[in-house]
Amino acid sequence: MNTVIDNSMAGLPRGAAGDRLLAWAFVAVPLLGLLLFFGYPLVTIGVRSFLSADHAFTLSNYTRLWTDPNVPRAALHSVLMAGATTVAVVLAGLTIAMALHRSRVPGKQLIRGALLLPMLAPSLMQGLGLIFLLGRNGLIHQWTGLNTDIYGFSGLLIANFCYALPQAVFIISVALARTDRRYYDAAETMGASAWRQFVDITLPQAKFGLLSAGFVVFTITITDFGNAIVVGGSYQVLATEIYDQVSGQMDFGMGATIGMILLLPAILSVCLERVASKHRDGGSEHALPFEAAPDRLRDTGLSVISALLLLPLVATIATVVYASFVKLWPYRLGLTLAHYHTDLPDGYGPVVTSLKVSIIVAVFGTLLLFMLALGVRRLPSALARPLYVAATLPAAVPGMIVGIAYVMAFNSGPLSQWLYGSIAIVALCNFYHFHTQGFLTMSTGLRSVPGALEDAVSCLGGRVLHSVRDVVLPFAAPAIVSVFFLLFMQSMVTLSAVIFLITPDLSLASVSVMQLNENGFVSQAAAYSTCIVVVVAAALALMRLVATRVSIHLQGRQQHVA
Amino acid sequence: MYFRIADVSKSFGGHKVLDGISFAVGESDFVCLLGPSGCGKTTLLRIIAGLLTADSGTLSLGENDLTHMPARARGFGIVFQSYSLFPNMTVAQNIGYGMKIRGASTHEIDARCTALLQLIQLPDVAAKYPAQLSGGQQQRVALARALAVDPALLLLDEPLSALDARVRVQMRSEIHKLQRQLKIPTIMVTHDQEEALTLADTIICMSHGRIEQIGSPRDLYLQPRTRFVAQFVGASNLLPTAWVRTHVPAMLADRPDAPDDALEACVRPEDIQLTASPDGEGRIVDISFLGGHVRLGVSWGGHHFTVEQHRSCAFESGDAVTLGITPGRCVWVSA
Repeated sequence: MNTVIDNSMAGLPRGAAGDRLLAWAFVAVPLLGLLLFFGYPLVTIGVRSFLSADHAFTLSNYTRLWTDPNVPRAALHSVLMAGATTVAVVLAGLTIAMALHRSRVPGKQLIRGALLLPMLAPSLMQGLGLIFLLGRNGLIHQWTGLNTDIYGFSGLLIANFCYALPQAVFIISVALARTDRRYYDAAETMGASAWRQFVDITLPQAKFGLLSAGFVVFTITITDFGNAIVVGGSYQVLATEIYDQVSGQMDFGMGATIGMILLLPAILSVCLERVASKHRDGGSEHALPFEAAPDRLRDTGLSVISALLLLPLVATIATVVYASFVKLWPYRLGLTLAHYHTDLPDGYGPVVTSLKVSIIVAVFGTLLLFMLALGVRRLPSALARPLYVAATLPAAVPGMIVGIAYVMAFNSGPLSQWLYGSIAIVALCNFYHFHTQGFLTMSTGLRSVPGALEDAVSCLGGRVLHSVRDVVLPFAAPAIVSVFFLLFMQSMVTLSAVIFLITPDLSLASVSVMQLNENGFVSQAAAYSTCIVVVVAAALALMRLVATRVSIHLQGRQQHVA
Repeated sequence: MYFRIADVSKSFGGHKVLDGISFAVGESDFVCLLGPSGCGKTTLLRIIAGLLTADSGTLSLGENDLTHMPARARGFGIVFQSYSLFPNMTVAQNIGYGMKIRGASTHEIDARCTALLQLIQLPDVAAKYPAQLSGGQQQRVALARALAVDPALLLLDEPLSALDARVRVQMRSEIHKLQRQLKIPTIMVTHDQEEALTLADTIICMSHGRIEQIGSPRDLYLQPRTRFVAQFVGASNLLPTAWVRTHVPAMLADRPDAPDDALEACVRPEDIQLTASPDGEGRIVDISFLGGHVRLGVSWGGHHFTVEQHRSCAFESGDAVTLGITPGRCVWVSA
């Protein structure tokens, strides 16, 4: 058995150069895309904010921010509204996360289910539901005769609350789950009360989670467009102001400038997130999970509060679905399918377009993100770090800004003849809008790929492609499935970026909902929204199914030894 | 010599993890790289495997220069501490993997696989998945997979440290038997001195990226050259020259000529005899019962000794004793 290197039997593969080329291609292709379809539009919008209508350099767009009659007020509204939403959502998020991770509240699956709802719906759906319930001619007014007026601050607050709550719960839950049970065991044996444990262990351990949830909520609310356009009413915020400047007055320079202002909180939020992640909360992914002792008072209290907090999430979506089947909301509550015969000139074409876009984004996006994450993993850390930052940068750019930037970069110029009004530009826009989350999910997934196994493949004579096929793909499969459906679902429901990219010949499902609503066809808007929810829910169900299959396939055979 | 490594150095971010490493491995030697975590032994193994390139130095196998050859062309077998089997492949597919990449026929692979499963004494697991095997069985399959490609050199990276204590000892003797039988030159990384002492023909003891001493297990235990080796391989009492001069001047007889603080006397715990005597200068400080023998802490002349005696000795804490050192069992090591 003891033979000197036996290349003859082996015919050992050669060509390290080929492997290296492949590794570089893995990085180069996605990176080129990132530069061209994210970097370039962003630079374009930045430059444009310093240009006057006749393309001369000017600072007047920025000075006009102060003198304009509407912008300062919209900015104040944005900050007030986002601030109020943040406080409400973080407190509610902490409560619900406590119910999920520190109590024996029954029906945790129901809570998780309710939190999923906003993910399935375009963000204007909460607003629509609120109008159905609390609008001037809403159900509540009809039943009680109260003069309800939901348009404006309060409506926006509730709608954004529904929209942002799930994300806050998710972030805070991660922080809570990372706190090791043994801290509580130690405190318990030393005689600390439940309140002391909450103040001395839970809060300090989760403080970066809370902080990070706060920034995320502030950013997504201040940049949200869907709810603002539906229930904002005369309460103009920066997002609607941009829309007016660009779509109403065709003042792209001003739109770009307000966009730059909206970038500030987002960039700040991402920077702080970076800092916070360096001082990560104590605890680890391998923490022993906390198991709450029975406590009727606490569990009952948390159940009731959670139910109340989640009520608007469920009520708004449920109302929209219900209203879509009702003859004349809220006067004649008999059921009908009439609203599903839409008055839109192209009927359900936009849903089909949205589906096409979403599938393209999911397929190509997953492929590109997989290549990028894999390439970054194989590079020396001096190169990998800046690439990692570049790949996570899109999170700092709100959808509206991506949309306007795309209009400015691609409606004219060298690429416009291929891109203008095409499905491709919408797909690209969506992909780079959601690039960060997909990339992070993919990177986390790749981290579970055991390095020893890749080394084993190298030693056994395998090349890069062997290693990808036999080690990386099997281990990263669950992450790949998640990224695929994540991109699909987000592309289906998004409105803020694509609103600027539609043309008379190219419309999308979420945009159609907005148009139907603006034209007063609220019941048809409800029917349209319901269709989107059904498609996305089906995708989610399919994802769960595939993900479970994949992990059973793998975990059934996973090594349980160290 | 069959495999040779000459003057290999490696730095990570300005920190030198390997500094001028040279040694050779004979045609059928079992060599252990022994050292505490962070001493650079795993980095060295990865360089030998070709998974990492050295900053300087050369590697050669027989007449072939390996220095710039990628891992996959070296034809070595490697076994890692854990996670080394493909979870989505059967045992047979795992073992046949390297041969398949080399384009061997199905028939060839099957035959080889059956033979190897016999060799590792798991003839019936071919169709099973790794998760259905115990930790020890998984490591045996990993070994079979490494052997399947007729490796020119077998590399073992702490292959036993993830296993239960009992399985570890059993596996250890199996690896020993297998290596003697197949005569494959083998390099194993370990931090467990007992593992190194029982398995190796040659131990290379490393610390802070340098080789402290190369020798047979017997050499390393009986003739340690440095304070580090004396402490890392087995337990030892290290006595400063000045202390020896005052208390046991006879031990100075075989001391090489060197300044006082350049050398220390190393005496193994089992080479000290205790005699109860009311006017003895030693005092028993503590006693731990270890089954076959007892370990006693004894203070003498301001120095703390560790002494091992047969369990039949009847000392108690606080007893006055005299200490006798077996003649010729004191080794002078560089401090």
